[in-house]
Amino acid sequence: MKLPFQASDEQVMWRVQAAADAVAFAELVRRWEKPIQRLCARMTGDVHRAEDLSQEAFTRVFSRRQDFVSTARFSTWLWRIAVNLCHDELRRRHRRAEVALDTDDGGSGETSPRRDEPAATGQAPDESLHSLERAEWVRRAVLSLPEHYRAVVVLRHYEGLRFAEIAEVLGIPEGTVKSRMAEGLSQLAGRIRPENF
Amino acid sequence: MTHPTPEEWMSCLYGEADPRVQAAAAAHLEVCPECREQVARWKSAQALLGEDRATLVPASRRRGATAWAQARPLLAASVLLAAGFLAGRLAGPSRAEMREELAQARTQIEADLRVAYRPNLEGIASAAAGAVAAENRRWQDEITAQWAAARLEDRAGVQSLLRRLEARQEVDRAAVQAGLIGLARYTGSGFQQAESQFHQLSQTKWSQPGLNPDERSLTPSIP
Repeated sequence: MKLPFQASDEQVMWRVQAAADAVAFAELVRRWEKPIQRLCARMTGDVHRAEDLSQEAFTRVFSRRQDFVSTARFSTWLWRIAVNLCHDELRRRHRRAEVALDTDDGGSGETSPRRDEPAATGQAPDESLHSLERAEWVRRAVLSLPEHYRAVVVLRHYEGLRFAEIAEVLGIPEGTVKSRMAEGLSQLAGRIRPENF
Repeated sequence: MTHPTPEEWMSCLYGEADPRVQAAAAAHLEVCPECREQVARWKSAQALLGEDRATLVPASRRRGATAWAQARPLLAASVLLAAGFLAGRLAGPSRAEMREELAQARTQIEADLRVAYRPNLEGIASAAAGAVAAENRRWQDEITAQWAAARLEDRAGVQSLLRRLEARQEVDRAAVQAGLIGLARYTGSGFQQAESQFHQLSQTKWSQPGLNPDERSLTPSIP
């Protein structure tokens, strides 16, 4: 089903907000499901979990539709919800890892290996390079970045958001976004050395 | 030498810098080996990030994946059939024969595809037509409802205006009536009073002793 004209995201969201219009909501999901899944996958390193997170993001959009400010951009609001869900997911994983650590070794203080982060798998990127495809390795290198750099790199480089919009999504100044991007690229350049490819 | 900040470099690398800043940064790069090296590192990281362009969408969700999986064996079979026709004739058929075989193969492929996909296509077309019709009906109903609501609202507005006018008219009528009654009362009593005075005046007898008729008061005694 299609709306009778190519309405903007904000116009469609207005219908969702005003009348809980399921058709309009389905249209928003159709437009944004893939980008949100991509973001969640690059943030968490798990495409199946990304699917769940994406559904959770849209559920949240619907349940909190009255919180949407009609003068704001829908995409910014949606990205923010998705990024926050990713942060929550990563925090949960971190807590689970800590609990497992306490249970397994009585809290010896050693870092537990994390399935989704190559830097924490026990293998340095250079060592794992030979056993992984190049794209997969790059993906894992991105995953090894600290979350606040990763979010900026993913939103700017893979999703093509402008620095100003990322600043709005993350609620930080634009200058901070740019300096995080610079630091993120520097860290990646340190991990991904061209001579290794 | 003043170096551009990392923030400025990021704006330049992602094409968001002002053209003036971009030009200044490019000029700086020509003369600053330190910045050249740093920017080269960033660019290499950018290039390597570009190596990963996977869609990162679970296979079960890839749109069209199922349809392609269904179509692939049939298409492969059709291609093999066509190749078989052609290979069988490679021994020395004429160009006209080959063209004919090719046309036959194409017809065969088209027929196969039609048979294989007709139910699907008919189902999809029928579903789409149904969805379009339902959507049209929904919009039509919505527009009708909105129009009816607007008419009701207009009617209520006009009725309210008329009621206010009537009330105002009633108030005005009452005021005029009161004014007229007051005027009539005052006017009527004034006339009656004057009439009675005139009447009294006309009945006055000038017979009081000691009074010169010329000195007689013209003021009648008013009862």
